[in-house]
This record gives sequence, C-alpha cells and structure tokens, in this order.
Amino acid sequence: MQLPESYVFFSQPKINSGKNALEHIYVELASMDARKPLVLASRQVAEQGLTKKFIKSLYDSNVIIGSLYEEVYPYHYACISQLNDLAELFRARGCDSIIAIGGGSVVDLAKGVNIAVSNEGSVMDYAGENVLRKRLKPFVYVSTGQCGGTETSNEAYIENRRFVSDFLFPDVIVLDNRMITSLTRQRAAEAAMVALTAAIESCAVPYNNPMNDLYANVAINFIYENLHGVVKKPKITHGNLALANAYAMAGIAFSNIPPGIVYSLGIAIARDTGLPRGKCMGCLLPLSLEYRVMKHESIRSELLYALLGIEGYCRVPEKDRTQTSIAILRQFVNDLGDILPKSLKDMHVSRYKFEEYSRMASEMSKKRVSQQDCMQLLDIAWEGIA
Amino acid sequence: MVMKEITGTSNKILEVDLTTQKFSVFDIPEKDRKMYLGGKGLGLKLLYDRMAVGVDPLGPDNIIAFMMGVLMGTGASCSGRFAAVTKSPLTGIMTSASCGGPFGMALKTSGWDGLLIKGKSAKPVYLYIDSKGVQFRDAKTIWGKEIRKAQDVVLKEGSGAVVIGPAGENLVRFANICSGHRFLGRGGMGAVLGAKNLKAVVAKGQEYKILPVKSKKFEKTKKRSTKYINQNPITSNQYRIFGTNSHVMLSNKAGILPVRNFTGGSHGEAAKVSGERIVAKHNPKFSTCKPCTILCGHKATFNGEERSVPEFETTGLFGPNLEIFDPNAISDFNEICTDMGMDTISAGGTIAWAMEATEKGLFKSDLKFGSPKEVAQTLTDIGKAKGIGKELGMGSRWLSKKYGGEDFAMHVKGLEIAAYDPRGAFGQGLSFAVANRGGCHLSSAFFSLEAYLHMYQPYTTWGKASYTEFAENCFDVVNSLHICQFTAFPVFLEPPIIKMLPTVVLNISLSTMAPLAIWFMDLSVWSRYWSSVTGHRLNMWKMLKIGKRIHVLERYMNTREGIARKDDTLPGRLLNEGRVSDPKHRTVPLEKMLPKYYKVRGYDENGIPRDRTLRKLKIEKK
Repeated sequence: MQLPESYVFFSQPKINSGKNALEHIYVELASMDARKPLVLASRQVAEQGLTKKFIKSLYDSNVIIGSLYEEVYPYHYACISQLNDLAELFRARGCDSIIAIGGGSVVDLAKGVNIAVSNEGSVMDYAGENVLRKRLKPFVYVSTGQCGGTETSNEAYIENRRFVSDFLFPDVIVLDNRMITSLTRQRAAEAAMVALTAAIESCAVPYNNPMNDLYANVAINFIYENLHGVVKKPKITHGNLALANAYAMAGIAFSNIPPGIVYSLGIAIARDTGLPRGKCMGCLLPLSLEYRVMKHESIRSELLYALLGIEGYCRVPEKDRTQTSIAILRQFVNDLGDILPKSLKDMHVSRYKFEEYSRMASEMSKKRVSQQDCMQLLDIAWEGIA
Repeated sequence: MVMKEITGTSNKILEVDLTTQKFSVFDIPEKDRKMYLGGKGLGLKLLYDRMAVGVDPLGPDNIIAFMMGVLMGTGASCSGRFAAVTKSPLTGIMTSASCGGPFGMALKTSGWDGLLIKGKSAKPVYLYIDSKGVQFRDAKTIWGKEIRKAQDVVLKEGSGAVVIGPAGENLVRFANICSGHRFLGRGGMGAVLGAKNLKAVVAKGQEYKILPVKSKKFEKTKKRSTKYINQNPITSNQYRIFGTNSHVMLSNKAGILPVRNFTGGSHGEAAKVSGERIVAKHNPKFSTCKPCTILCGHKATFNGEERSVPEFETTGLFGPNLEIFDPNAISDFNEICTDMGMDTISAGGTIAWAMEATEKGLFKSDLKFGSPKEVAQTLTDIGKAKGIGKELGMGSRWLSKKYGGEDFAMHVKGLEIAAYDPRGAFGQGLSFAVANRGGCHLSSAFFSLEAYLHMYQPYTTWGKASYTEFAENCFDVVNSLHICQFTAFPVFLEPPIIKMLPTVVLNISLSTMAPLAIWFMDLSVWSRYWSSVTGHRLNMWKMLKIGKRIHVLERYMNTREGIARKDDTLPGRLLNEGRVSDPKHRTVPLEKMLPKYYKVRGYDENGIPRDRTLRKLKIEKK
C-alpha cells in the first residue's frame, strides 16, 4: 500500500446491504428530512414484480409515495423530454426526494430529475465536470443488480452528455437480496467488466490513495471470486449480492479518479457501435495492462493482492507479481468463453474509426489519456494479441 | 450510321482504378449472372468478391458499382433504371440505390453492363466512357459547380451522365448522385465519389442496340406487363395524375404522415401539400424516366418557375414533418437539394432533429418548426459545409450521439427513415428495422398494403414477418432486373384471383396464411422478362430464391461490418411514445415481430444468417 503526501477521497453514499435493507429506507429518508419520494423504475423492473416488493417494504412506515413511475425508457442514457416531464411531476406532487429502482438508465434519469428540481434553468446547462454548485434533493438508489458501477458513482449520462459532480452520488445505496435479480450470462459478464474496469483503473493509477485501494480491491476481489459462479448458475443469491456490492464499491472508487484509457475507449466505441460497454471494456482491459508493461510503465503489485488475497499474494515472488496478476486477469476473462469477444476484429469494430475513438476517449479523460496511447491500444486490441 | 447490336447482354464490366488512372474489362461469369440476375444483385456480388471487410467508405479502398440490369435498353416497360452499390459513409454498411436517369441507357448502349470504380484520384477528374473504354479528364472547370450546371457541361460529350454537387465534394454524408433529373439518393453515394475526387461520369451511348434473345416471348411479356400497368388504378390513375404526392392524403387519413418530427400522424393542413392540390394549382406536366409506362414524375410551376414536382418523401419530410405547409417553400428546398446534390429524406430528417434539439436546448441553431425561412439557408450551408451546416451534414445519428436527442433522431442504422410513421403500420415498422440499408421504405413498402390498400390490418403483427420477407425478396429481384418498383402494384394486384377475392377474405388469408396467399400474385412477368432477354431459363420460384439470395448476401455483408440484432431497431420515439393523433398512443411492437422474421429469414437469434442458410443459398462464407 502506498501513502501519498496528500490525497482527497470523497464518498457520499451510505451503503445498506443484505437482509431487510429495504425496510431501512424510511429511516434513511427521515434522517434526510424527507418522506414523500418520487419513485422511478423501468418497465422491466415493474414486470419482475420488484416495485411491488419495494412498496410492500414501506407498508409500516410513514413514507408517502409521491408518485410511482414505471415507464422509464430502456435507453442507455436519460432523455430530456422524459426528464422534464418527471421534474414537472415531482413538483406537481410536492415530492421531496427521489428513489430509483433498477440499473443505469433509471439512475441516470433520476439524477437528471434531481438536477432539474434542485436547480434553476435547463438541466443541460449543468453538463460537464463539477458544474453543479449546490446539494440536490435526497436520493436513494435501490440496486437490482442490473448495473455496472456507474450508478453509484458521481457521474450521469443525460442525452449522451456526461455530468460529473460529487452532488450526483446517491445518498443511500440499498442492496437487498429480494431486489437483486439474476441476469443472463451475457449481461452478468458485461456488467462485471464495466465494474472491473472502473475498479482496476481506479487503483492502477500512480497517484492513487489508500481509501481508493480499499474500495477498488474489495470490488475486484468480489468480482473475481463470484462472477464465474454467477455466470454458471445465474440464480446464486449470495454471488449476485456480492457482485452488487462490488459494483457499488467500484462506482465509488471510480468517482475519485479521472476515467482511464479502457473506460474512455469503451464508452467511445460503445456509443458509436451500439455494442455493450462491458463487451468493449472486457476486450480492452487485459490488453491495456499488457500494453503498459510493454511501455515499461509500472503496474502496482497490489492488483495481485486484490485478485488472490493475502495468501496468494505472498506466495508469488515480488518480481513476478505484476506479470502474474496480468496472466490471472487474462485467464479470468478467457474463462468466460464465448461471452466476451477476444478482439475488436471479432466484434466487427471498424478499424478506420480508431482515430475518432481515440480522439473521443482523450477528450473524455480531459487529455489525461493520450490519443497516441489510445491508437496503439486499439491497434493491439484489433487482433487481440499483445 | 447503323448501330451495332448486342443480343441479350454484353456481360462486360469496366473496372476503373482512379489512383493509377487505368481501367480493365472483365466478363461476368455466367454462374454469377444466373445467381444474381444483374443490377443490384450482381453489384453486391462483385463487391463481395472484391472489397475487404472494414474499409473506410470515404477511403480509396471503397468500391462503387454502377450496374445496369438486363432489361435496360430493351424497351421493357418501366425499365429505364439502373442501380448503384457501395459502402455508405452515412451508415457504414452496404447501400444500394435505384435511379431513372439517362446514364443507365448511355452506359448500356456504350456496350457495358456495369462500371466499378475504386481508388482515389490525386486531383478532381471526370470519366468519359465509350465502347472503347475510359478516358480520365480534368474536372477543374466543373469542380465546385452545382449539379445542373456541371451536368450541362459534361452532357455535351455524351448522352447520359452521373454527377455530384458541392455536397458530394464536401463529403456531406447524405450527398447523392444525379443523372438527368433523377437521383441515386440514399446512403451518401455522392460523398463516396467526392472522396475519390470524381465529379462525374459521362457515357457516350447510342453505340449499340440491345435485343432480347427471345424476342417473341419478350414482346408477349411486355404486352402483359403494360396491360397490367394500364389496368391498375394506382399506376394508371393515382400516380399518373397526382404523382407520388397522392400519398399525402392517404397517409394523413391513415395516421402515418410524419408531423413535427414524427410526433403527430396526421394534420389538418396536410391537404395544402397534397398531389391533388398541386394538380389544381400548379399545372403539372409529365417528366419521367425513359422508358416509362406509369408516368409518375411531373414538372409544375412553383414560384413562377417550371420545376420538378417534389416526390412524396420530399414533401413529407420538408413539409408536415417540419410543420411547413407551403408547396412553394417545399419546392425551394427541393431545388436547393438538387443543386447541392443531397438526399431530401436524410436532409429533412436531419433538419427536423435539429429543430427539436434546438427547442429542447440540446443544439444551437435558428431552426424552428413551422418556419421555412431558416431552412433554405441551412440546406445551402449543409451543401457547402459552412457553419452549423458542416455538422448537420453528418446526419442525425452522428448529431444525436454528439449532442443527445437519440430518441428523436429518426433513423435506422444511421439512415433517416422515410415519410411513413410505422406506429400506424406495424409491418412497416418491422420493415424499417430490418431493412438492409437502414431506414428504407422501399425494402418491402409494407405501408401501402397496410395503410392504403387495407390488405393487412395495420395494428396487428400477424403475417407481417412472412410478408416482409416475401416483399424484400421481390424488390431485390426488381432492383436486379432492373425495373421500376412501382410495377409491383400491378404485378401483385392485377392477377384475377387477387382481384376477385373480397377484401375481407384477402385480409384474413394474407394475415393468417401469408406464405400461401402471396402465391396468388403473378410474379412470372418478371421472370419471363429476364429469361426472354438473356435466353436462360428462369421461373418465378427460382427467381424468388435469387431475391432471397441477394437479400441474405447483403445482410451477411452487413453483419461482417458489425450489424446484428442490436441494430435492427427503431428510434426510441416509435417504440415508446404514441402519436398525438392516436388516442390509444400505440407504439410499434417490434420485439414481437423480430424473432419471427429472423426465423423465416434463416437468421440466428442475434440476426446473423445461419451457416445452413448461406449454404442453402450457395453463398460462399468468407
């Protein structure tokens, strides 16, 4: 572990995980002086009966549901017309807080509505990094496991534009067994790859801090230990809950560092091609570590600690730890078999667009990731061999 | 001078490399001719054999094929059309287009069945083609010129030409190619030529006479085809008198007219831009492709000038879709697009996105619904790649990915959808979603059967997958023969069995027994045309299989570029929001229809053609 001369770490959310976590929501709302939430969920969540379970958990509380909206569009970002309609609904019903049940699209929309009802002017005026200047309304996120970590982070995508602010963290994250649904093998692997990318890139940066390490390492470990089990048997409750915890922690860790090369490129490719982000990131992640080794950049050996725990870490000689952790990670991704493609070529990503993706990724990371590095990583990932 | 004769087809294709400024000639293998007919089908096959996966559409490795069908030059009714095939810079997948201009006849009567162009010229050039081959000529004097001016210059040297305008030169992603007063409209083919520094191709023509191998059979078929066309009320009356703008009132009544960027479905002022109103107020005259029996194209007087009457797609997307109900304004926009060389469907769809995005604060422009003033200037700016025009020229998909508003960017696979709202015709929704080139209304033209002819219930999903597959196969045949797609109306509807069946019975049989019911139609007109010209045997069953082969080959080529089920979708608005005009706020139940369609097509659940499907159709997997 390294202790930098100085560091800042911020984590807003309170995590409420496990049995009966739902029943704690009213206490959490009360502690924030709220009792009339606007509840948002997707159609899919409603069809799975999860909103009914949620409402049932509030029976004995003094919480009044201001409005229950179960028609969130299943886009990968929030759309402004729906957002404005919901902001109107929030005001008309006199709501004082927001609860989002589901995955990324619901949470992005909830964050957007929260910006709209807590600020003046158009939501789009607050796009970008740290443009928001004041606290938003209390916001509770109930995970259904259909996520990838960005839900618990300080970012949101509204109309394809990135909003980043510490005010966008959920105040409370609820991870209740009853609400965590099993995903298909494909979706589970893709979600895990987004969170794994966020976690690895947040602890792999040289200017990392010990708090980030803690969150990221636990997230990596949970994903490493549980993903294969969940992929084989999607209904394992414990495994799904562990992954949901991992995603929550990865999101928090990720919020404390700028987006890395894999995350930025994954978003850029996914946005253009419509491929799932997790697929793109899963293909790029092991290769990015190998690329860094090729460039003689150091990779912190703590990655091995996160993957194997203290015993495994100690068994490997110090000089071999980096290579071992990369090999384990590669094997981990390979063992997912045909779920994740091994190269960009296999994913039919257009090579002539690499320059465009590199430019987009570099812009997203505020030039902290160079276009040249992006191009080289993409060239390697094209064939999938470092 | 006595003209030389070609009996059947010349089977000769010119292959031009602009980089080296050389050309070669090759013969079409007989096997390919029989398996792909000609036109679009053969063009796709030639590109499949020659073009690598993942080439940059605007790079030198992209190939554009101009392909004549076997009917061109024979005088078959409505056969004055040719096809072009290339990889689209707008969608990044294969695109094809059909055009009724004089270039097809000129190239064919110069002795060529097709022209492939690859590479990139170091400086702007145009090509002169005669029976001896190709000459590369300096285009300095016409580069930068508007389409009609450039065409006037090059047509002094030949009898037909294809020309691009400033939009093509400036790589506007929906730039088109013009021939006469007709266009290879969709998918940005103009930009492909622009990127190759190729301003025009002019063919001398009139060097050869094209004769069918079996002239008696040909004449008999032509007589039957002409009879059908002249009997059918759509082709002999509706289109002949009112042109394609006869769709305005039909669509308005059926609730499928795009209004205010596809939020409405009908509008009280729609009659102002209808074909009926244009006939009453603008004094139209025929102005058609040659040869043509239907005569749907017209010229009329707008703002004191004689101009081409905008087609329905142009009217729909520049009119009600922008809340503009002034035919003169729509004609102005049409003229600008003609001069600049831009597809009016994509231009209209992109402008509508910009208007709504501006309204919602996502994009900055002066554009607003109902206000024609800014539209004309914006269209000129797009063509010249000036100001916001530079970004608008990238199309609505690119814009919405950059600025947001993807749910109301009305495109499929990057190609802006035509002027039919599929929430009032579910089969058309499926058809838009799965069409190979993107948001194309012509791949099955299902709207006409659902919303105009009431042969299918528009709001059910029954039989929609089967008919979509059938119509796609048919229209791939039509575009490979090559003949006008409107001839499908008489071929489908004039045979006695179809005519005699009461609408209710027809409706039920098509919806519930589509694979059987569609055999009431008489497709042998098309197979007889092809076999009489080439001398090769072909019956309608084999012909439909060829249509299927062409369609699946195109799909397979697209899947190699990354197309899969994720792309077979519709804009969010059509899947989640109802129309203002529909009290039930119905949306397209695409997920219900898609698996059935994949099944009848022989695709897997991800929309990829199965190996056994490819084997069955004799498509060599690469």
